[in-house]
Amino acid sequence: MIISKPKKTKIEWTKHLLISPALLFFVALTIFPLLFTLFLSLNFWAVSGEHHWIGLGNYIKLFQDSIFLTSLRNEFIFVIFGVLFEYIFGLLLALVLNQLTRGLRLIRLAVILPFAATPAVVGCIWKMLFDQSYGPIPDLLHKVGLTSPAWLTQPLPALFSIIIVDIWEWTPFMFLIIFAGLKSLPKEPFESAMVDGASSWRIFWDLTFPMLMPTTIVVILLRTIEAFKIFDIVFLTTAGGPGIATISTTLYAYDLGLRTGNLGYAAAMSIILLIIVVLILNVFLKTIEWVRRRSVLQKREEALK
Amino acid sequence: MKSRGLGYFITRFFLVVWVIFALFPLYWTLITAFKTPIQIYKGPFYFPFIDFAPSTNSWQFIFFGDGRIDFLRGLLNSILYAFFSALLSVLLGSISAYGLARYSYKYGPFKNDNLNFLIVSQRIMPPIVAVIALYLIFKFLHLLDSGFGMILAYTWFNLPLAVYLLTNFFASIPREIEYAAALDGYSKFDQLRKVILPLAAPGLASAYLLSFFFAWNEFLMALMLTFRDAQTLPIIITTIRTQMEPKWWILSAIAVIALIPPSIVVLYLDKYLIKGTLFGGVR
Amino acid sequence: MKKILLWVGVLTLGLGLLITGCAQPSTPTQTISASPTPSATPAKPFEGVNITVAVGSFMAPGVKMFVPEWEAKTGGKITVVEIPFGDLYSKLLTSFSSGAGTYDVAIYAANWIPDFAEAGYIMSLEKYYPQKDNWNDVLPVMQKAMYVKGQRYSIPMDGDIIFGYYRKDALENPEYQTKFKEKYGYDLAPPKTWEEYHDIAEFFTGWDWDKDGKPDWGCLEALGPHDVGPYIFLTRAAAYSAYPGKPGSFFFDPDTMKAQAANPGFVKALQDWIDIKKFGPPEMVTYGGGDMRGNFVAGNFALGIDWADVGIMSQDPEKSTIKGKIGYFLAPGSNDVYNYTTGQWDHFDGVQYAPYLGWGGWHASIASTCKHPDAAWDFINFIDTTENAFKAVTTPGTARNPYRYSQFVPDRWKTSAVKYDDSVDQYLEVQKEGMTHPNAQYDLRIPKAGRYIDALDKYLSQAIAGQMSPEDALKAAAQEWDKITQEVGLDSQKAVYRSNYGLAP
Repeated sequence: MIISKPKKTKIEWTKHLLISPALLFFVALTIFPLLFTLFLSLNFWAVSGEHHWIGLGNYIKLFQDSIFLTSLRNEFIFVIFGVLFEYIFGLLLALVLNQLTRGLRLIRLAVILPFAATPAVVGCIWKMLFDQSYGPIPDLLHKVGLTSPAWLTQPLPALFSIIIVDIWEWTPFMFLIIFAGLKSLPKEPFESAMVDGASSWRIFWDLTFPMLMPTTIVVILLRTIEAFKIFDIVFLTTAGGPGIATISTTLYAYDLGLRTGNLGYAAAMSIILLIIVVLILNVFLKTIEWVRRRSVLQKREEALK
Repeated sequence: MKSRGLGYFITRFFLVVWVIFALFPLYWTLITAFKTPIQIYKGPFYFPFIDFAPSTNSWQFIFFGDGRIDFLRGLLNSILYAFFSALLSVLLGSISAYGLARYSYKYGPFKNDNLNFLIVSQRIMPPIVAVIALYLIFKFLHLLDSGFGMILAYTWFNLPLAVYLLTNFFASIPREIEYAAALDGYSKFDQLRKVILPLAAPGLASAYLLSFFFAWNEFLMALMLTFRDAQTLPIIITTIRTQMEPKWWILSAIAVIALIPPSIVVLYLDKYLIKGTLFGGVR
Repeated sequence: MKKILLWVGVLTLGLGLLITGCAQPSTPTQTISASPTPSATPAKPFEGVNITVAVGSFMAPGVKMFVPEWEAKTGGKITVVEIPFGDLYSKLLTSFSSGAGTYDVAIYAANWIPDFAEAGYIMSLEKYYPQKDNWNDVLPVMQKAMYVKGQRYSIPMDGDIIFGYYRKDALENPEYQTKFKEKYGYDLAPPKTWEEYHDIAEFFTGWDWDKDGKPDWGCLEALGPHDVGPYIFLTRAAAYSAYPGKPGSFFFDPDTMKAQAANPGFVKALQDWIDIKKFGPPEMVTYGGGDMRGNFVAGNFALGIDWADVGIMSQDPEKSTIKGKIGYFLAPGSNDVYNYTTGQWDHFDGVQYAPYLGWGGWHASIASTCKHPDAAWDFINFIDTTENAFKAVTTPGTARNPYRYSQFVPDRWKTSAVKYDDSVDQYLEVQKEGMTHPNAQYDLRIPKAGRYIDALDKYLSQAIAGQMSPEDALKAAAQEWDKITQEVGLDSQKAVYRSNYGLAP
């Protein structure tokens, strides 16, 4: 992705200066909390401050904790479905709105707005929307003659409901970045393709999508990171319920850490989540790298023929 | 582009459906702000004046009633913190992003892409425990419950995002443009100002918007790092929500107000967001 | 254009930082209270003193309503910090344990008093109590809750007891009464046992008995997780497990400190509790206390279980459609109670009640780090003067419920600011009866009580969702209780537990 030109000498010090703020922040405000969290996870540490060393005790307990394992399962469900649909919808929205740029400020605002709404209220409102006694969604479904599933009170529909709310809230995020990415693409290739009479499908598949690759990677990466931390939506609509059917790891850690005061255990959970996410992202990036290398090789082969 | 095909209708239909999907909950929030408790619990009422008689209780409460001090303070604080921290994030972020996009780094085993990943990995860890650490740091620096501290905290919170996003956008601007400008006698600074920045406008706008939203809606840090003076809107909302009974109507009123500053920011930055790239011969 | 924007940004940034930095010591917006101005009259006792009061969001109105008057009277200044209810425990702990001294006064659940007192976070108020003139007005059961090892650590603000509500237009309707008697063989009346409660709930589920055009439900309780569920559950468990005459038999075996949470009494209570799912709306399993109250007073439910809040809310015409239609009853008891010493169920001819004082009530304590304890005492005493206390418990939204003898006089309520109707007689009668009952049960008041309740909540919600059987859920809860007891120290927990019930150590 980065091509370096031989202009190193003069700009040596500038480039280090440029990156220093970000790295400084990183070291100061991330390394310390990370180490602190790691340290906490190896202790029994109550919110009141009392603590003693227990080594890997928290971790061993974690893997026997059925609630924790359920939360991990839920995380994967939320992330996979959430990110997938949000990307697709965000992409579609960006493509459509890219064509109709003139005077659609309000439409763009409407699309972005769900993400600007405070999650604290969003969760409450959706809880109201899904309520079977006085919510509009079941009511409307009844009016058209369909039965309304038990949106928040049965395990499977509850998972489904959370994904719906998640899609509602986060698609704008994908949209915004992809849209900006589309706008940053050079127009020439598209103009020449149109002149050549290519169909929209071809243009999209051969031109737009490959050129959007870096943006796609960025947006999926960012969203995946955020998706693993899902908290507000679950907390406010189902509180992890029914029972523990929809509990997310962050919610469980919050419960245990701040509510019950078992910080060490919550820290251990955070570390495990961190490791999982880093692993997944690395796999993701390596896969992309591998795919890219293969397609480059393929193109080279074809060119040589 | 092709106009009147099936594709045309499908895309527009999709857009309409999505906008309805996006706006319906917000509409519901709006009308709930005008309802009395009974109207909420007695079953869905859809249209003011047709279904139910609107009341202005919630609005009176937050603007004139007991709640007004906390509400207005929360609103002001949220606006300040979001606005400035997003600005800082984008400013500092652009600097680093430009570096990462244009130059190659090697700190030990970490090269550009690694550094990029490292920076964004800040966001991976669930903030719960990191917040406790931050609490201790802030206490040491006497930054608790202060506007300055919160802006700093939110800048830290959003910087990785800004860097990661902007690196991508800067990298997509071809270097040739910079060289062309250099050939025309532009100083480095002018190159940045007159050439790069306008081209990166959509990226910068989206980075600012996202940083703003994240800071605007952030809850956990505000909960732990503030006590009263520096409290933000999400805290006020949660406090009301966890009172004896969830006062949906007041919450909705606050939520509606809470949508206004972000909307203003979106509308203002919109023109930067839609700036397309023109290739070659850019001035 | 972008350039100008940039510079404007930088300049405003600098300005903004300056402003926010300087705005730190003083509050950005002015407060409603009178700023301390030197008066011509003799200097006010606490001129210039600043007291920070941390209060859970439920009770904040019950504090704020007295701030202006106290400030005007004493020249001191009160800063009220509202903390979201669910985070109250952890925020108080973080602040106390870090020694930051952010809060001078904390208003929280009586159950946490032993916790904070033992840890040295709050100061003993014994030296101030002689100044208090209305101590004897407080119900004995509330008085005892404030003592830790013979010293008082708080001022009471609130009395908590969970009891039952019924709809008069349902239970006192002659036509329904006849039908009920036909079906169940006894007279329809406010339930004395949980079996009767179920029968009544079943009878009123699924048809429109309040004639509002929609089918109604038999009962409403807060079954939702992360909220007051455990307390509502414990109200039932008390009837089966709190053996009359055996103080301390409710939560633990007072001799061995083994958890009672899995005993047959608890199991039966849980099975019953899960059973009521069919008598209420499907969303009931997600309802917290607030949801339950809002829904109950909006109509449609024949029976309800809650603290006194529903009663107060029902008087508010904005929220309630049931004003004048409400009756009250003591939390149902049982003819059969589980005897933990023999491992058998014992049968009684009369119904045995075990009114449960869930949550223990809001109390105010002074932090050990408080620099102006005299002023702090003056304020919290002020909120609890006979007159102010009465004002607070009769005002909706303050979360303060009656706890003083003087507050249980019905006529005073009918002439108070919020005009309560006739049902207030029964309302007060039921609460008083419960709180003065010989078998009234305190809530769990040992250190880390919150953790025990949270553990219970975790497993209750799974049992309700059908993910665990009641037996398994309670067994898991009991195991976790024992683990927590071990962690904190079995002997110290036992000592505190026994002293709560007046048992010899």
